[in-house]
Formats: sequence, C-alpha cells, structure tokens
Amino acid sequence: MANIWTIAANELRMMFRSRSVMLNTFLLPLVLIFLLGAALSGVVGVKGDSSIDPVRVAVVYTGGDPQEASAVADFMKSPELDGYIIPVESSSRDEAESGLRNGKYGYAVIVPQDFDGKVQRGQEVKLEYILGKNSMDNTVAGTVFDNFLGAINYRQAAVQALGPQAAVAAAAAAEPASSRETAVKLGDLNNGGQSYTASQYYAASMLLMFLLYSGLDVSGSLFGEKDRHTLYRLGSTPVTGRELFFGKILGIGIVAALQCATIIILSNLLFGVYWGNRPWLLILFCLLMIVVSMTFSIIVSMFCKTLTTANTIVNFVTVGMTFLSGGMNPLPDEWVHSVGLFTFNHWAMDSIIRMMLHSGLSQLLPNLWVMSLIALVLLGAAIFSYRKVGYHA
Amino acid sequence: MAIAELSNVVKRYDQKLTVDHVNVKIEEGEIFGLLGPNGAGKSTTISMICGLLEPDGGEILIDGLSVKARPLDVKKRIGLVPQELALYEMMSAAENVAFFGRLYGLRGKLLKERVEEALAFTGLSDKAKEKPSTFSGGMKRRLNIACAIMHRPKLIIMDEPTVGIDPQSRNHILESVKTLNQMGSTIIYTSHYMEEVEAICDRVAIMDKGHIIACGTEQELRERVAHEEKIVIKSGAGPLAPELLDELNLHPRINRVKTLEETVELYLPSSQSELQDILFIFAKHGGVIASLQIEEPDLETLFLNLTGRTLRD
Amino acid sequence: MHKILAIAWNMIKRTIGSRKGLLIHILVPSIVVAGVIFITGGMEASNPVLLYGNRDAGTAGGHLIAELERTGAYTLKEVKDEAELKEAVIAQEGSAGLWIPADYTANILQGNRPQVGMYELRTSESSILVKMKVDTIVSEMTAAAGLIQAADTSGEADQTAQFAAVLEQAREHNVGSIRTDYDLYPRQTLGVATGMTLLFLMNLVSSTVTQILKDRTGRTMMRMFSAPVRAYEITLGNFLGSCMVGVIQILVVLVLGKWVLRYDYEVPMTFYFLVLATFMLVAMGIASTIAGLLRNPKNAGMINMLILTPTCMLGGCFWPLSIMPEYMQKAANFVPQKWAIQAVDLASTGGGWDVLWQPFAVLGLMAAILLVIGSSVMRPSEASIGV
Repeated sequence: MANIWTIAANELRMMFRSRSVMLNTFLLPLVLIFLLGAALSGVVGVKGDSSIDPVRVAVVYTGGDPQEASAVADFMKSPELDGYIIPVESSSRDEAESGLRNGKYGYAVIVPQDFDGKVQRGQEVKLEYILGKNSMDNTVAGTVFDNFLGAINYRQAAVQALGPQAAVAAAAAAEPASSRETAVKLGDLNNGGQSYTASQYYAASMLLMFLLYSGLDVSGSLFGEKDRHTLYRLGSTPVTGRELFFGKILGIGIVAALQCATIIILSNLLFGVYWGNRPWLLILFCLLMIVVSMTFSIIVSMFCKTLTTANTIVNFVTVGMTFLSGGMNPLPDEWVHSVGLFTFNHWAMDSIIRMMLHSGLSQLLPNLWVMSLIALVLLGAAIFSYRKVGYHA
Repeated sequence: MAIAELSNVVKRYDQKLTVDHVNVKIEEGEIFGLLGPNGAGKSTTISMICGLLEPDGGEILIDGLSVKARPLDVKKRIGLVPQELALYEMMSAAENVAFFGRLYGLRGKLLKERVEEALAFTGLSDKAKEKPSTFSGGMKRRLNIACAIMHRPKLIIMDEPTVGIDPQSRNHILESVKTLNQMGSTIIYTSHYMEEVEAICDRVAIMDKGHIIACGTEQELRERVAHEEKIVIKSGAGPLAPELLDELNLHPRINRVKTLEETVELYLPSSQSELQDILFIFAKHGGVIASLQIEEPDLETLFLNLTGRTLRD
Repeated sequence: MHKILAIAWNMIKRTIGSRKGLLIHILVPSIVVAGVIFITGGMEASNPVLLYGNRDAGTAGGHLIAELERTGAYTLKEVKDEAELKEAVIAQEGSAGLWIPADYTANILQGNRPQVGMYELRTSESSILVKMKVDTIVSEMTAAAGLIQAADTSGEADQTAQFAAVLEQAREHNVGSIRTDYDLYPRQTLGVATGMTLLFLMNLVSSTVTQILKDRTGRTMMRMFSAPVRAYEITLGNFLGSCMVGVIQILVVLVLGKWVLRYDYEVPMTFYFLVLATFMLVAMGIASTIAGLLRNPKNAGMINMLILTPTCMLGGCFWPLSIMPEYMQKAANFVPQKWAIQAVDLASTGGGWDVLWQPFAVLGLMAAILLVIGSSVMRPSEASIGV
C-alpha cells in the first residue's frame, strides 16, 4: 500500500512540475467555458443589435408606377425602416438581379402590378423577394417585409371575414403600437432552484470533454515510464506490477479529480455556472466519467505499441464522442438520440443537465445505471487486457 | 555461500534460445564479471536474476531465495543499475534517489541519510537539487548508479554502466565499484569491454550466444589459453616474401600464421623457445623486422580461441 | 537547390513515409474531417424538431402552430403537458419547446400581448429564429385582435368567432410573398464544415512542426548543419517539407469530401484549396512561433492545443460569427480562422477578387509575420548547440 502512495505521489509531482500539463488541465477548460459563455450568451437580440449594417433593398414596381402600390411605397418611406433597410428603387427585375449578384443590393423586392387594387379587392397578391448574398441580410430584410405583408394580410383577412365595416375601423385604427416587448418568454426548465442558462450546457460538455481528455495523461504516463527506461528499473525494485500500475493510475486519477473540482468550482465562482442541487451525485458522475476515460485509455495503451498511436486513438475518440454527443455544436436532433447514445458523454451530460435543472432522482437513476455499466464493462476489459498484455519494460 | 545461483536457466524468444542452460554460482563478496559481445544474452540473464523476466526453465536462487517464489524478497536484496539511463528528468537528483529509496521501504530520517550517502558516494552532493536534464553524460551515469545503491543492497548488478562516457567518469565508476565491493556488496558487472572486466573482477564468466563458454578467475582463464602465445612482427620493408611465409607456415611448432598487410601474427605454444628460429627464417629470406611483440594471452584471446570471433564483432 | 529538396523530401518521408505515419497523419484526420463535414452537411437537410404544447382554449394557439408549420422550416411535435414538454426538451428530443397557455386567445382578444413560453437547453441559431418567427406571428395576431376591437362588434362570443374567422382567412395568405432563391448566399453549414477542416488542419500542421522541434532536440538538425548546408537551406527545406505534407493532407481531405462523400463545397475546389493552403501557412507560422518560444517539443504540442480550440471558437469554426456579441466579433478579427471562413463565404456568394483580396491580404500578412518570427525554429541556431 505504501508503495502505491509513493508511486502516486511521484506521478502527481511529475504532472505538477509540467507547466504545459497544468495549463491544459486547469486553464484551458476555464478559457473555453468563458468563451462559450461569452460567445453564446448575448444571442437573444439578433435584430436589436445596432451593429447591423442596413440592407440595401432593390424595389421594383412592375407596374412602373409606385402610386399603384402606395402601401408598399409608403412603407418604404416609413421611419420604421431606418437602420435596417435602405430602399432603392430599381428600374427592372433584371437590373435588381444583376445588382444582387454584384453586391450592389443585399435584397430585392418585386412589387406586382396593381398591388393596392388587389389588396382592396381581397385578391391574392404576392410580393416576390429575391434573396441576396448575405444570410444575415436575408433574414433581416425578409423579416421586415414579412411583418409588413403580414399586417396587410391580416387586415385584408379581417375585412373579408368581418365585412366592410372592418375596413373603416382598420383605416381608423392607428398602426398597432409596435410594442417591442417580446412575445416569447424564455421558460425556466428548472424545477425550482436557480434559473438555467445556455452557458451551463457548454460548461457541462466542456467538463466532460476534459475528463475524457485525462485519458491522454494515462497513456502519456504509461508510455513515458517505458521510454525513460524507468519502468525497467522499477521492475527491479520490490514493487509488484499491480502496485506500480495502480499507483500510476491513482496519481492521474487524483489530478483528473482535482481538474474536475477546479472546473466546477471556478466556473461557478468566476462565471456563475450553477451545477445543480446534488453535489454528491455530481461527484459520483464525474468519478464514473474519470473511471471510464482512464480505463478506456488503459485498454488503448495496452494494445498500442507507441505513445503516438495511443494518443491519436484517445484524441480521436474524445473529440469524436464530444462532437457526436452534441457538445461542440448543435447536431440534428435525431443524431443525439441515435449515434449520441453510443458516446460516454451523452449519459453523463444528460445527468449533469438534469441536476442543474433539479430533476427528480428517478430521472437520474437510469443514467447512473448506464454510466456504472459502461464503467464496469470498461474496468473489466482493462483488467482483462492488463492480465493479458501486462505492463512491462 | 553463494549469493546467486543459476542452474540450467533457459530463456526463449520466439523459439530462439537467448539464454541456453546457464549454470553459474556467484559467491558472496566477489566482483563477478559477465563478459560477452552484444546480444550474447547478458542483459536477459540479468533481467531474470532481478525478476524482470521469468525463465522458461531452470532455477535462480538469490541469497538462498527462489526468484520465482519470493520475487519481492529477492528484489529487496538487489540493486540494479540498468544499461539505459533510467531517470526522471523532471525531478532533481535527490528526488530521483529518494523516490527509488521509498520503494525499497526507506522512510524519514533514514531515507534522507541514505540519499545523501548515495549522492556523496557518486560525487553528486553539490548537484543534489539540480535536474538530470542539466547533467553531463557521466553525471547521469553516476546518478543512475546512485539510484541503485541507496538501499545498501547485498547484490549490486551493473549492466554496462560505462557505456558511452568519458574515461574520467569511467575510472570514477570503476573505482566506486571496487569501493562498493569493499563495503560488503557482491557485484555482478557486465561489459563488453574486456579491459574493465580484467581490471576489477575477481571472477569472470564469458558468454556467447546464450551459453557460458568459460568461467573462472582471471588467472584460471588465462591458463586455459596459456598453451598458446602470440608474436606480432611488423615488416620494415613492405609485404613479406611468400617464401618466408611458407616457411613460417611449415614450421612444426607454429600453430597458425595470420598475415595482415605488413604484419604477421604467429600463434605458438611458447615464444621463448622458437624466437631464435623465427628470427633465423626472417634473416634467411631477407625479411626486415621493424618491430616485434610478444603478447601474453588475455581474455580477448581466450574469447577468440573459443569462438573464433573477437569480442567487439 | 537540391539540398533544400533533399531536406524537404526527408521531412516528408519521415512524417508520412511509413504506413503508420500515413495512417496517423493522413488517413485518420482525413476521415474525421470528411465525417464531420458529412454530418454537418446532413444537418442542412433535416429540419430541427420543435416541440409544443397547446392548452389554448381559443384559436390563436392553433393558428400560431399552423403558421410555424407553414414555414416548412420545422418539424413540429406535440406533447401533452408542460412537464412533459420540459422533460422532452431536457432529453433533447427537440431543439426548443413552445408552451401556449390556456387563456392565450382570450388574452389576445383583451388587447394584451400574452407571452408564449419557450424552453431551450442551449441557444442555437434555429432557436433564435423560432423566437423571431413567433414574435412576428403574435404581432400579427394582436394587430388582428386590435382591428376586431376597433370594429367594435358587440359580445365576447362574437369577437371570438370573428377572431377565429380572421385567422382562418389570414391563413390563406392572400397577401404574402414568394421567395426566389438563386442560392446567392452561403449555406449555413459551409462555415462550420470549413471551420472543422481548419481545426484539424491546424492540428496536423502543429504536429509537423513538433517533428522539426524533435529534430532540434534530437540533434539531427545539428548533424544536418554540420554538412555543407547553409542555415537558410535547412529552414527552407523544413518549410517546404512541412508545406508539402500539409498540401497532401488538404488534398486528401478535399478529395474524400468532394468525391467520396459528395459534399457540395459551393466554391471551385481550386479556390477552396487555395484558402486552406493560405491558412496552412498561417497555422505553420503560429505553430513554429510557439515552438520557437518553448523549445520543448512535448510542451509545444500541448500549448498548441491551448491555442487551437479557443481561437477556433472565436474565429467561428463552431458557429456563425454573427450570433456572437459585438465585442467578440471584433476580437475575431485577430484570429486567422475568421478570415479563411470569410474568404470561403465571399467566394461561395460569387464574390470576385475585388472583395476577396481582403481576407487573403490579412491571412498573407499574418502568415508573413508569424513565419518570420517562427522561422527561428526551423533553422539551427546557436541556442540549440551545447548541452
């Protein structure tokens, strides 16, 4: 037992001596969580962002006379458009199209003949939009004109449904005070407790990614001892192979646990990431994840001849699983529930988010069983491969 | 009493016998040399003595204990200086020694004392706090030794401890081997440098292709080849005449003649009695002698005799 | 010249000359990149699932859902109650969940602007667009409700019926729009696909530079220098060698993506290649600058990772830059990934060299500065001689 501690302590000392290991283990995750939080937190008001350059919109009156479509013409002049749209009258559809292609316009609106008349008669009338080169501009201009058309559509619908008296009312009714108040309230997924923010999602996915990455420390350490020839020397000391192996894994496990604690505590203190109401279960899930990542890396290291090969595989799996579990960027929903199920991250991720959201214990237990099962299977496989291949100089 | 006893030890790699029925007894208190060319099976033998490899056959007893049955007790009695540098570059010299010391169960004050002692012994006291990455090759070799002796093992095994270092460090290491021996440790010393083994070892085993082909004190081994001496004659005037060489070859007391450009090597049971004859043959054919050297048999010759190859082949 | 080529060739041979090198440096990364591109490319085709629960007694709720469905951008899926909705969102069965409360229609008719509840696990582009769309539809509905009130027909029941009628009529979309799409704008996933390619490209380049660094510590560079070779020849040779390795990697990735997985890059392959190759120079500059500062190959590899992921995030490899706050978009200007992605974006929208020169100029400048600083690592120097 004393030997295990000696070896674990030695392992710890070597890892703490290496500045790059320290930076990667403790600084990088926090930087990433900060970036993710900062980058994705301010996304609510895309439209309200004053930095948007107004879109130059080519307006083509097919009838030739703007007066024929006074509703459109008036709208183009309205102050509402300031800052969003710069309407430019264009002579023909062709001109507008070529303007779109060469970047003169960001968007084009083709007004059909006799727009006003058709609207008043309750006939079908469509504006044609031609999409430009910039997705953002397309979204902005499309939304602005759709709102405008929507209002007309509803008014026409009202007139048709309610009869002509509505037209009078409609004319009399002031434009509805365009309340900027949003019609969507972001609901709290929480079942009590602190409110949930999107950055929590990424904090959790980063935590898990880095726990998986700690597998690299395992392979690095196992191969390092061989490359340094110290494994040969250790073989001549009165330490059993098992003590040596377990000591090393213990040392790296301690670092991984410290890393996990640092990420959780510092992200909470610095960026206010809330990690849920079940600290013990959170610890348990993190430990399971550490076991999974380490045993996995052990198995890989046992069957690889060189560190580079082992690292490539561990790296590949870590990045791949994080990606497939939706931890990097959103994936199609069906992916999360098909391929995602085969990643280690998915189960821990799901649980951590549920804990953040104060879900009931009954919803967490299935995940716990699955994680435990994965850990057990990998542990078994690791023990088997250790028995089979062993760890020799 | 024998500190190490190998009986019929066999080790195979892919059906090839690397160590082939080796029988050696190493007595307590001696410096035992294991001499042989690269790939002779020395390191494999040593790995088996240390319990790093399991023999495919035979038995190894260290201090009366079976390596197979009680590996940990055996390992406590052994200090291994591996052929390759086996050090942690990230840790200081003292930390390196202390780490291995702890693995031998040393703790606290005793550990500290032993670390200082080992570093002092290898002349690294003033470098205790520095990392091996800043060391010269010789210093690394000495630290490599320090890590193996701090627990005062009964048996120290040194596997080519002088590979690739300057003569000064080499002498220092050879001296310390003697000192360690005087302090009570038995030492197994492997090398493919015959001079080193001759200089420090009490007894020598010569290994080749997995076999021990000769074993004994230096004197005993010398006597085995004592029936043959070597005379090296360098010609002073170009290649020697064929008739001269023919006559040397035909001489009944000369066993073999080897010519190398302007030198000729003669192997014969005793040089004194035939020197006269040889000089006469030279004079007869007008051979000019630039130098003449009579070589006593050494381990090199012995090896050559036994295997027909030189050690450094 | 042939000395430079010899050094370059040696570099290539050692990196990807063996079967293992080929596997680690070319095959595995290419398959990963191609796979990522394939998956992100597949995202385009599938609509995000939008979960909803509608408790509304009136017609407004149904209308809202119907209008959302009409956009054709979402797959709508109904759930029973709010708890189930939350659970489904947490279980990631859909990218967002909408909850329409019971008194929704009534509230609108009273001239209020009631709120729809929305649940999301993480902010994404699609969830932002849903929010905007809902906002629009609700505005229209409240406007319609305003009209009905202004028309002042008596009776609450009447109003409800009228409201329903108006909404039904509105769903006809007599006044509406047709979108003509000439595919002028870059596809959304193109940015992410490019970003992922850049991420892996940087990773590969850094591993080649680490190789050079190993040469330095392994002293083979000194041996090279002891031959009658000039320092600049070694630098150029190493540079050329790493470039060639990078070019091969890019080619394999592109070939796999284009002709095996049939991903539509929307820009001519030669241009895409040009962007990646320019970016590779910058990546080499970064990697060698770090290597020059650190010297120890193992550390350099790890520090590279420290730089890699954050800059990729900032540069828009994982999500479009436009969804980031303004100050971060500004910060992105200092990151090469941004300019590479922008170049591809511009080109995919048919931009000519009159606009393309800018990202290329920025990338070129970055590459030049970093390579000058970093060239010290590719060259034998006095610092590397000695113990």
